[in-house]
Amino acid sequence: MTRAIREHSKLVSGLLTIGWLAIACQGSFAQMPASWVLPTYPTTAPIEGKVTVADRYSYREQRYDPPVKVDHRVPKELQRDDTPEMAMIGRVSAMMNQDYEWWLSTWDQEAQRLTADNDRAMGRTAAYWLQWWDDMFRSGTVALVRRIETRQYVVLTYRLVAPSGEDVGGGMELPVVFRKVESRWLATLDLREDVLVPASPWVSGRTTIEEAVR
Amino acid sequence: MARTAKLPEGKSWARGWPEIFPRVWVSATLGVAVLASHVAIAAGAESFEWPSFNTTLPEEKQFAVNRHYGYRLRAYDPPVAIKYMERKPESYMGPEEVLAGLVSAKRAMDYEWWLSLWDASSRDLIAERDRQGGGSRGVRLKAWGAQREAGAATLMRWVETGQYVVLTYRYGAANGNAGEPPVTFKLSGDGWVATLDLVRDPVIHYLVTGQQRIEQVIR
Repeated sequence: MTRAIREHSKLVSGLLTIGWLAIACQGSFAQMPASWVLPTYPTTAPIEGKVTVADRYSYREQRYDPPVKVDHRVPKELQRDDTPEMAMIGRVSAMMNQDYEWWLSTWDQEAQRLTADNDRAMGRTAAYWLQWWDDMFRSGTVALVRRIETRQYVVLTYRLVAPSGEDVGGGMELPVVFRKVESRWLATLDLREDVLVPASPWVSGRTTIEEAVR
Repeated sequence: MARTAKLPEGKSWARGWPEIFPRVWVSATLGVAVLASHVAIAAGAESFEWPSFNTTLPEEKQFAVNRHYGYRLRAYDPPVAIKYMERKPESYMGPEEVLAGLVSAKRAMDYEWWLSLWDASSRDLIAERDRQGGGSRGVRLKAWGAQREAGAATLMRWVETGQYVVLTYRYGAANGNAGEPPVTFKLSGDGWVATLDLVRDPVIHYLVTGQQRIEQVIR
């Protein structure tokens, strides 16, 4: 397994942690732990109950048919970002061209700041990303699989595929979230704490997940 | 599944491509595009063929996350009249004693005593509210004065949820119409303290409203 795929695995496992944890936790609320502290005065017998907060998300799903392989790069001077798809092609081209500054410019301002902060905290430089992309595109290229709209965001999902179309990314389907800033579609980390994208119901087929908070 | 033409289709707001142009505009646009590409080639610029983005028809879907907050509830039977403390004690044995301290401090109009019974982050939050409210301390003291007239405070319910114990109490008759405010307690390094950790918690919401299911449309 190449380093790029390993990195993808780490990214996906991180993204999906909330979703899987939630699924794994379901049912655990049925049995509360025994009381560890008791009232001083007489009471009625204890009644166990639960309060449920149901968060609802709507989204519109389309599949690219056939999947769109991004196997040739758009020259930087011809890049467009008037649709999420074109912005994605520009983003992938920046990665294929090993152009860190171009890639950074495909994020919105807040995501650029978060990426810089995160890189600083992790001791990463541009060289880290360049190496990652080099590994990634040696094993395959990006194929757009799905387009998800959820309110003002568009999530494009992709897989890593060989020139033959065969999956070389361990079967994983990764999301990139875009939002429109003035007339430009830019990648964003706005949904980094959101449940919908890590849960990726368009991949899992689930319509509900249950989470025991306590 | 039926296929659409190029994106977008339907009434999606995130349109990537022009929808339908009159033919004259298509011809004019194509003409300009061809001319532009010739100019670009003549100028030595690279060209790029954008792929087609054919998609399936859009499907509207729903996804839900149900978050569950367990609790164990006991009602004091009978309700317990809270014994007022004459002065601030050295320590508090449990949540009920801390609550007795809180109502005693209020009865004594001793703001510093009352504040000392909260954990550090709650004290910061109260101080912040006091600053923003520009007189919350005065408002509290005024409310406490009114509560002194309302009669004895009575312990009503004991609720466990996670690491917290929530007690509800009321002023006046146990079966009266007065509200039954919940106060949350936790065991800290310094013993039991009141906390605002659950100030927006669904269990607190339930104790106030009786609502066991809260529906939220996130998007």
